[in-house]
Amino acid sequence: MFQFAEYKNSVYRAMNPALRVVIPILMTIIGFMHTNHLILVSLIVLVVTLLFLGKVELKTIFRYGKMLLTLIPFISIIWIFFHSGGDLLFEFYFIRIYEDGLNMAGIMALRFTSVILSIPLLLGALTQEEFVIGLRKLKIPRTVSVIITMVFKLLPTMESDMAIVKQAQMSRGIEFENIKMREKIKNYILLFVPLLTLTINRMETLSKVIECRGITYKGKKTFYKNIQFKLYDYIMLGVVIGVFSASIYLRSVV
Amino acid sequence: MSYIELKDVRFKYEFGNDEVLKGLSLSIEKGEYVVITGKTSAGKSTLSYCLNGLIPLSVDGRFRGSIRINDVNVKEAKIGDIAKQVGIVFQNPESQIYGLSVEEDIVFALENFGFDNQTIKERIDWALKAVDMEGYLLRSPFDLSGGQKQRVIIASVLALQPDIIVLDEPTAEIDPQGKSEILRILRKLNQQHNITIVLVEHDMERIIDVADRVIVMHEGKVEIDGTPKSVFQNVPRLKELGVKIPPVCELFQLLKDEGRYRGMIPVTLDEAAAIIGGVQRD
Repeated sequence: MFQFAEYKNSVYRAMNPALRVVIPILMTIIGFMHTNHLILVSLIVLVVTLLFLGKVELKTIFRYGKMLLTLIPFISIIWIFFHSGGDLLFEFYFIRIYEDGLNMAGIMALRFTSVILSIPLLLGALTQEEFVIGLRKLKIPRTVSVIITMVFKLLPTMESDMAIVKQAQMSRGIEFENIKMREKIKNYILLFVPLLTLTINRMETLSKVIECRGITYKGKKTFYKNIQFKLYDYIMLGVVIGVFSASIYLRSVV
Repeated sequence: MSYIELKDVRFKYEFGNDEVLKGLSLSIEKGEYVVITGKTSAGKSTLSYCLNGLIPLSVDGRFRGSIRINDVNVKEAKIGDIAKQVGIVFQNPESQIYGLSVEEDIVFALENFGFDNQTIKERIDWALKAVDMEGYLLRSPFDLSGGQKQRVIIASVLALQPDIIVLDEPTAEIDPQGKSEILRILRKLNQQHNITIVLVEHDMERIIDVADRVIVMHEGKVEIDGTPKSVFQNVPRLKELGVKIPPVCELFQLLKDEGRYRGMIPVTLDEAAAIIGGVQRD
């Protein structure tokens, strides 16, 4: 599920990793700051442009983008049918749709689209090594950055472990498809118990490994690959600060 | 003074019912190739955690006794300080890989210990050469075979240039070819680089001719400790202790039981061939 990218050259990826960590986070913050349709649409256009400039693979974008297929209808139903305010636009028995509900459903759909698309912008345009360098540049303590990296590393491993456990259970005659929901839940419990055991064992070993490789060592730490800020990065940093400042200004006037 | 010295070590895991180590005493000298064997739950893995300070410094539980590594009391040391002297390799290679490239995996420990870039580069080259993995620097460890993955992990440990490497069943989840590669590398590290090897292993057949010493554990204690030649003279007792007997020892024990052979039990095929050759000549 959560996997970092392979190394590629592009205009976006030429930026310092620290900026590539910060930009998707800022995009998410801007998404949550605004309730204006036009600003949110502009934000989505900007994120999509960055995804394109970052040469993020389509399959990575779709992997996260498909979350919107369940999220947007769910959010829309909640806001459209359970939010009142403004003019009453539609009434049928107990169902009432108000103008504000419809408006908010649109805002939320746009907001979550920008937020969800920021995930592939973070993970699809950074290698794991660049991610760690980025966090380091942002002065995040090494222990914290290693834990974050371990979590991101663990998730795809869990995904492949789950496939193996599922196949093993299916070969013993346990069905996961075309059965009643109650049976399905029961069978999935049989899947999660070995998966959990496997994951805990893996994490226990990895935590011992990184401890033995000096993660808790108190002395000075060095960085083999330390990517310095270049002129291009300072220019891009200026652009990022400009966009974010403009976003704060627009929030106060729109 | 031995390089590693354990005296009357007792350990019970936090959530365990019984002590896993029950008054274990052991000493290991620099440059030795030691094989630790015994049946499951004899305390082999727990002992390996003691040898690099994970017990008592990191693993939760009740610890008694004393462990001294390079004349330092482990209780007063830090895991990081011990890690530079004693490296450890675990069973499952997948669970031990940290980096997404071989280079990243090796660099991790060196950065943590604050080595400068020139030293890091030299250590990477040296470690990869020692495990015969030159040319794999930028490869993803996840794309390698089980044996190669384990060699990358050994290289990561080796990069710190420890005096001792402890390996807890490193070949248990690896195919026979990968297993041979690992054992060949360990032999090379011991003989060419004088690195002490402490190997927890069930399959005695492949390592009996390279080990200096075999330790058989039973219920949290050292039951038998000696050279492979001396340890494998008592095959019935070893079977009771759950030790996997090499076929050559098993054959000569059978011949002994039937009264057709009275000499020392050979531990390697070469020794057996020499004895059989001698028999034919007689």
